[in-house]
Amino acid sequence: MKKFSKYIICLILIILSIFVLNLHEDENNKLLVQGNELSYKSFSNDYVTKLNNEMKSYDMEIPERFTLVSENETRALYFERDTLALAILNKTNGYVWYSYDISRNYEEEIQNNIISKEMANQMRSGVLLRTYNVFTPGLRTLLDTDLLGKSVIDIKIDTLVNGFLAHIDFTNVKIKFDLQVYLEGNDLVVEIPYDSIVEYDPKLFEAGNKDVLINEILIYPFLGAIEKADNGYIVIPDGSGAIVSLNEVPKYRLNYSAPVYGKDLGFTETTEVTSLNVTMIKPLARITLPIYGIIHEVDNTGLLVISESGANYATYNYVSRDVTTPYYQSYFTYSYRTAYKQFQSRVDKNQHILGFQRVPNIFDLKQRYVLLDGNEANYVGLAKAYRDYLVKNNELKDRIQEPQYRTKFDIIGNEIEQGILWNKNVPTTQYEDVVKIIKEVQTLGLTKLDMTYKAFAKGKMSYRFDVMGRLGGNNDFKDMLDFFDKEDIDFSYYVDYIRTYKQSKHTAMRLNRKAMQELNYSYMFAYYYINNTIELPELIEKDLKKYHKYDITELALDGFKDALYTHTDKKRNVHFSVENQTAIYEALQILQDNNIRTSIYNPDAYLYRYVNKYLDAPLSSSELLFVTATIPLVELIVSGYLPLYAPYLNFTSSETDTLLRLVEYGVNPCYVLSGENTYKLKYTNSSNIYVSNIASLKERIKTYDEFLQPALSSISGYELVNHYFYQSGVTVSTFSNGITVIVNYNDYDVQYNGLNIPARGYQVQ
Amino acid sequence: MKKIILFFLTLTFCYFMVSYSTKAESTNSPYYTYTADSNRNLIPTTDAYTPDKQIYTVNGQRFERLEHLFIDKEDYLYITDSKGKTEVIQKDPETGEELINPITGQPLKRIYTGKVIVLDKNLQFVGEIYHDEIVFPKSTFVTNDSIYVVDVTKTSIFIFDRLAFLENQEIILKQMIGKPTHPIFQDEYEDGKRVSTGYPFRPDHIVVDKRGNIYVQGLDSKNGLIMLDSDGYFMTFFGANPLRVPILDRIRSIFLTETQEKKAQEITDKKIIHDIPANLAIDEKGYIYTVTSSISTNPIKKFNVSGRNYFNENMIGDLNMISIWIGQYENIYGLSSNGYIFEYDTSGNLLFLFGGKDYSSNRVGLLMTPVSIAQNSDDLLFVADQSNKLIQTYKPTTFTNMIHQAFKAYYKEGNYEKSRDYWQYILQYNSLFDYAHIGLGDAYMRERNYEAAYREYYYANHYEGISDAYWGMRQQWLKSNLNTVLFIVVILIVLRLFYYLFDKRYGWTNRIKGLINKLRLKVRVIDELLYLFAFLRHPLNGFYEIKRENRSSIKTATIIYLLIGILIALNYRFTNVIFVPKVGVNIAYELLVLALILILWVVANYLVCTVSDGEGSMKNVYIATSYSLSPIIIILPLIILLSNVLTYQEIVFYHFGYLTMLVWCAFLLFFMIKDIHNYSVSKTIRVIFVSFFTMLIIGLFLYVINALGNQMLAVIREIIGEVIYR
Repeated sequence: MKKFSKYIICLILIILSIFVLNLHEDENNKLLVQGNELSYKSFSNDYVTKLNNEMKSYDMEIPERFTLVSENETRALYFERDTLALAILNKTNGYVWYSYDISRNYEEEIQNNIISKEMANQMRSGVLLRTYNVFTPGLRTLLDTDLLGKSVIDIKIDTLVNGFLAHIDFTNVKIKFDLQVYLEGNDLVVEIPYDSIVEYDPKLFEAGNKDVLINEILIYPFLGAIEKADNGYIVIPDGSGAIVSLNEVPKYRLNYSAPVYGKDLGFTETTEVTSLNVTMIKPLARITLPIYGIIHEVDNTGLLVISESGANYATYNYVSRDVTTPYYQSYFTYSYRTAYKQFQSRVDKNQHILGFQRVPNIFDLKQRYVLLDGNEANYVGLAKAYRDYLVKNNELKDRIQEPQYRTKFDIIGNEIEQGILWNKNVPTTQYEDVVKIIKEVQTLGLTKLDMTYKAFAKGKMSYRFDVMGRLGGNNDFKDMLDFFDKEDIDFSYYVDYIRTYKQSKHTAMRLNRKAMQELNYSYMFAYYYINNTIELPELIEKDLKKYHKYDITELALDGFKDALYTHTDKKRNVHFSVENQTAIYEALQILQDNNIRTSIYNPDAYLYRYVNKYLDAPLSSSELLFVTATIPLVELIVSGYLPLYAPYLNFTSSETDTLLRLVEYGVNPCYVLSGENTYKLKYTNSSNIYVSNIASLKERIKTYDEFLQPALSSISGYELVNHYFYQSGVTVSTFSNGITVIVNYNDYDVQYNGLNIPARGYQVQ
Repeated sequence: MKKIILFFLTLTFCYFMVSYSTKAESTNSPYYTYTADSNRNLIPTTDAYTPDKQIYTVNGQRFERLEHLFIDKEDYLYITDSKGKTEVIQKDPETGEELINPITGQPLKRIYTGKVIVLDKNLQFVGEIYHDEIVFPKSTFVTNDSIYVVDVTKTSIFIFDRLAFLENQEIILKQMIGKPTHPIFQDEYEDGKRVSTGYPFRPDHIVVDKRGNIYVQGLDSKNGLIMLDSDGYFMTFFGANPLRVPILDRIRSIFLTETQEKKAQEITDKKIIHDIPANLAIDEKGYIYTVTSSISTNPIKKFNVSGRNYFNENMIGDLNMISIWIGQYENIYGLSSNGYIFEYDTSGNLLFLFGGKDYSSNRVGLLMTPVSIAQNSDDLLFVADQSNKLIQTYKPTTFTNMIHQAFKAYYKEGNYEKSRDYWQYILQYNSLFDYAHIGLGDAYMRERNYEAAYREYYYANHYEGISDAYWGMRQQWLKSNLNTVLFIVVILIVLRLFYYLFDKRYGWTNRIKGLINKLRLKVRVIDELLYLFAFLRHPLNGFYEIKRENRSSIKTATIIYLLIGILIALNYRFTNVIFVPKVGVNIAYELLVLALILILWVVANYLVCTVSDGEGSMKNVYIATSYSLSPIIIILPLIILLSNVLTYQEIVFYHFGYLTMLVWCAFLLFFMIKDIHNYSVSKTIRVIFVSFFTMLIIGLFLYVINALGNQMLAVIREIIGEVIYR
C-alpha cells in the first residue's frame, strides 16, 4: 500500500504541475520570472521568446556551387551562377543568409514528385519576372527552359569591384535587364537600373501581336525565408509595426500584401458605395516604412531590408508557411506596369477592356540588406539600424531640442454645408472663440499646448489658408496669434493641397483618363478629388505671400497619403510617382526656405526630412489575425527626432487601452475641437466628427491629462531606446533619459522588479 | 484516493476543453460603428462593441458546421453543430459494461453526427446533446426545464430534460413533436394517388412561450409562423409578412370579374413574392419577433398575440438579415449575412450598426458567413461564423453599457434623474446622440426646466418634445407676463378709441386714403397690387375686370408670384419647426418645381382652352391665376406668425388656417377658369381635368427630350474629344 501511495503522490504532482502550467498559459500568469521576454498578450495570447544575452556564433558551411565574389572584414558574398542565388556570410557571428533553402536536393525532389519543377525553379531563382501574357500573368524564373529542356534565359556575368553584374535576358519573352549585387560596407545592395530594362520585341503593341509585357519583378523572395524559428519573427511594417512569430504550425495560414505608401490611385477605381451608404470596414493601417525585417534568432541574427529606391512602386508581401511552400516569406515586389480598366460605357461598369501602360514605371530599383547581429538582432535593433540609415542619409536631421509633454488641439473654424440656394459657410469657431477655448483648456491644468486651426476655404473648395471676415477678420486673427505668442502656444494652420472637393483643372487624371477621385463619405461631399501633385510647388508658391502677410510660421499638412500616384496629362503623357515625390520635395523645400515649419499627418518615410511634428502617429497595426504582436516600430525609428502626436482622442472607445498605448509609445495626445455645438458640423464636410465641443470634452481632457501627465511629462520627446514584452499584457519601454515605463494592460496587478504595476495602469521608473 | 485523482483528471480535462483566444489591447476595432439620428440618418459614433474572444475548438475538436447559438437565462451557451461528431463508447444496456468489438478487441464506439454543445457562463464545457434520432440539428430553444432541438432532416422537434442534462449530463428525451396531425398538413389522396400536397412543415427555428406553445419558423411556410400547442397540435398561423403582388396585377385585379380573376390568380400566384421569415425570437413579455431576409425596409417585426406589428414600416435594416436576439433591456439584435450587426431599442429605433464582412484582410472581429447571434447576461455578444468555423464574441464598451443603463433607468425603472447622469455621460462621447438628448429633455421636463428641455429636444429634432417643452415655456411666460399682456391689450383698445374720436374731428382716415389714392394714380403697380383686396372681396367682378378692362398687368402678376415664392421660402425658414421640419429641405429646388408646375399650368390651360372655345388669352390666364393664388399672400404670413406660438395641442388652428387658404385658392382658380373662358360649370370641370392631363403629357415630353438631349450632347462631346485627342 505504501509503495502504491508513492505513485499516487507522483501522479498528483504531475497533474498539478500540468494544471499550474496551463494556468500560466491563460490569463493568470501574474507572476512570471522576469527576463527580457517577448510575451505580449496579443490575439494569440502568450508569445514568449527568450532573449539570449550570450552571443552565439554559427558554423555554417557554404556549398561549393556558390562562388565567392566579394569579401571585406565583416561580410562575404557568394553566388551561384545559374540561379544568381546568394549566400551572405556575416563574419561577426558566422551566420550565412541564403536566398533559398540549400539543405534540399531539388533535382531529386523533382524526380520523386515531391515538388513541382515550377515551384523548385521559383524557389531557387534569384530574380522572378511576372509578365502579362495576353492578359494572364505568368511568373518566369531564371531556370526556365524550352520544351527541349534548353535554358531560355541568357545570363552574362560581369564582375564589379564589390560584387557582380548580371545581364539577364529572358529571350523567350524578349525582356532583358541588369542585376547588380554588391557589398557596400556592411550592407548588401541589389540594384536594377531602369535604363537596363528593355522590352525588345519589335512588334510590341502592334495589332495582332501576343504581347508579353513586364508586370513586376521579385528579387530574392526567398532570401531569409525559413521553415521555423523558435526564437525568431518577421517584422511587418503594417501601421505602427507588427511581428509574426515563426512557429512550426502557423495558427493562421494567411498571407498579407499591401502597397508601400498606399495604393497607386492612378490605376485603381473609386471604391463602390455599400448598400447602407456608409463605409463599414475600416481601411487597413498604411505601410509608411519601406522596410521589413526577418529575425532568425533574437539577439543573434537578423536581417533588415530597405527599399532604397522604388518604394513608391513596391508592395510588401508576407507569406505564411504551408500555404504554397513550407517557408515563411517576407519580400517586396516591384511593379513596372499595371493593367487598368478602360471603360467603354458610361453606365455599365462591366463593359470595359484592360488597358496597359506603354512605358513601364520609371524608377531605379535598389534594395539594401542590412545584416543584424548581437543585440541588434531584434525589432528594436532593427528599427535603430534603419534610424541610423535615415540619419546617415540626412532624412532625420535634428534631435528634439527641448523634449516636452504637449497636448495638441485641432480646432475646426469653418465648414461648408448645402445652403438654400448654394453651398454656404458654417463658421464653427470664431478667432476670438479660439482664444476662449484655449483659456478654458488652460484652466484644466494643461500648460504646454499646440494648436492647429482648420477652415474650409469655399473659394478653393478645400482646406486652405484664408483669413475670413465671418470668423472675425484680420484684427481678430492677429489678436489670436498674439495670444498664442504670449502664451507660448505652437500655432499651425491646417492646409491640404492634395485633396479638393470639386473637380477642377488641377485635378489629376487616372491612366484611363478619368478624374482621380475617392469616396469621401461625409454628409456634404460624396467624393474628393486629387490635385495634380506636380503642381504643388506652384500652389504653395502662390500662397507664400499670404503666409508672410499673416506671419504663419507653421503649417499642418494633410493629404499626403494620396499624393504618390501615376497619372496622365492632357497630352496623354504618363507621369510617374517619382515625379510627384520630387515635386513634393520641391514644395516642402520652398516652405523650409521661407522659414515655415511643416507638421505632417501620418507621413510616409520619404517625407521625414521635412517633418517637424509627426501627427496622427500610428498606435497600432491592422491587428491581422496571424500577427503575434503589435510593436512600436515607427516610434522606435522617429522618436527623439520628431515629436509624435496621437490621432484624435475624441473618438477612442477603449479609453484606458489607448491612453496606456500613448504612455507605452511616448506619444502626445491630440483632440479636435469646435467652438460651436457639434450639431453645427452634422451636415458639413466634417460630419464624421460626433463630439468636438469643449463643454462636452472638458471632463475627458482633464481626466486623460491627469492619467498621462505623470508618464509623458518625463518621457515625451525623448528617444524610445528599448521596448519589450515583459509578460502577457505587460510592456516595458525605456527612453533615452533613462526613464523606464512599465505598462500593464491586464485586469490584475503585476509585479515587476519588486514594483507593483496596477491593473490597467503603469509605473514610471 | 482514487476519487481525488479522478477529480484532478476531470479538472485538467475540463480546463483543456474550450480553447479560445482573447484580443486584449486592441485600441481599434476593424469596423466603424454607426447610430441613427431621429431622422433615421446613419451617423458615426464611438465603438459600441469591440471584438473580444474567438472560440474555435471545444474538447480539442474544431467546429464542423455551426448552425445556431442560444443562451439560456443562466447563461448556458448551446452551440448547434450540425456536422459535429461525437464518439461514444457503447455500453450494454443491462449490465452497463462497455461493449467490445469482437474483431478488433477495441471498445465498440458509436459515432453521432450532429450535436448541441453546451458551455457554461465561463465558457467551460458542460456536455453535448446527441441522440439516435437526431440527424441534422439546426437550432435550439431552451426553457427552464426543457431543451428543444430542431432537426431539419427529421422535420421534428426533440424536447430534452434540461436539468437532468445540466446536472448529470443525462440526455433524456421527453417528447418528440413531428408533423401536426391537422388535415392542412396532410397530403390528399384519391384512389391511392396523391392529388395535393399538405402544407409544408419543415421547422428551422422555434420559440416557446410561457404556456409552452411552440412557434415554428419553417421553410416554405408562406402563411407565417406555425403555432403549435405544447403537445404539438396545430393552433394557427401567425405573423406572416404581407404579400408583394406586382403593381400591374393589382391594378388589373380591380377590373376583372370574379371568374377572370380566378384564372388570372393562377398566373399571379407565380409572380407573388412571399417573404418568409428567416428567424424568430420571443421576449419576456411574450412578444414574438420575426426577421425576414428578403425585406430591407422593415426586416424585423414585433408581434403581439393578435399578430399586430409594432415596428415602423421603414426602420433601418438590411437585406439578408438572418438572426435575431432579444437583449435584457428589451433591445433587439439583428444579424445580417453581410456581417452587419444591428442593435435596436425597444421601439425598433436603430441604436448601433457595426461589423462587416471579411473579404481578404483577415482581421479579428470581421465575419465571413455569420449565421446566428446570441447574448449573455454580461451583454457579451456571441456570433457564430459558419465558414470560419468559430464563434466570435463582442464586448460592449463603457459607452454602450452606459446607454443600456440609461435605458434601464429610463424605461424600466422610470428613474429620470438617474438616467440623466447616464445621458450626460454619453454625450461626452457622442454629442450627436439624439436619444441622449431626448432622454435629457425628458428629465428636464420632469424638473419643469422647459427651456433646457426645449434645447435638448431641438438638437434631436424631436418634434413632440419641442412642442411639449414650448407649451411649458409658453405657460410659464404667460403666468409671469399675463399682467403685461392684459395691460397692452387695454392700451391698444384705448388707443383705438381715441383714434376713432379724433378721426371724426381731424379726418385722419380720409387723409391717409387720399394719400394712397394719389400714390395709386401715380404708380400703376401699387394700384394694381392694392386692387388685390377689392378683387378678393368681389372675385367674380374681379375676373371680369381683369379680362375685359385690363385691370392688371403682367408686371403686377409677376410681382405677386414672386411674393408668393418669397412667402413659401419664409414658410420653410420661419414656421415653427414642429410643423415644418427643417432638415433635408432644399428650398431652391422646391421653388423651382413650383414655378415649373405654374408655367406648365398656364401653358396647358391656355392651350386646352384655345381648342375648347375659351375666351381668355394667355395673358389673362397668367394674371388671373396670380390673383387666384393671392389668398396665400394674405393668410400664409399669419400662419407663419401664429405657428410660432402654437404647440401640437393647438395644431387644429394651424391646419384650419392652411385649409382655408387652400380652399379659397381652389375656389378662385375654379371661377377663374369659368369666368375668364366663359364656360359652364361642367365644362370648367372637364377643362381642368384635360389641363392636368396636358400638363402630364408636356411633362413627359420634356423629360424624354431632356434625356435624349443629354445623350446626344454626350455623344457629340465624345466625338469632339476623340477628334481632338487622336
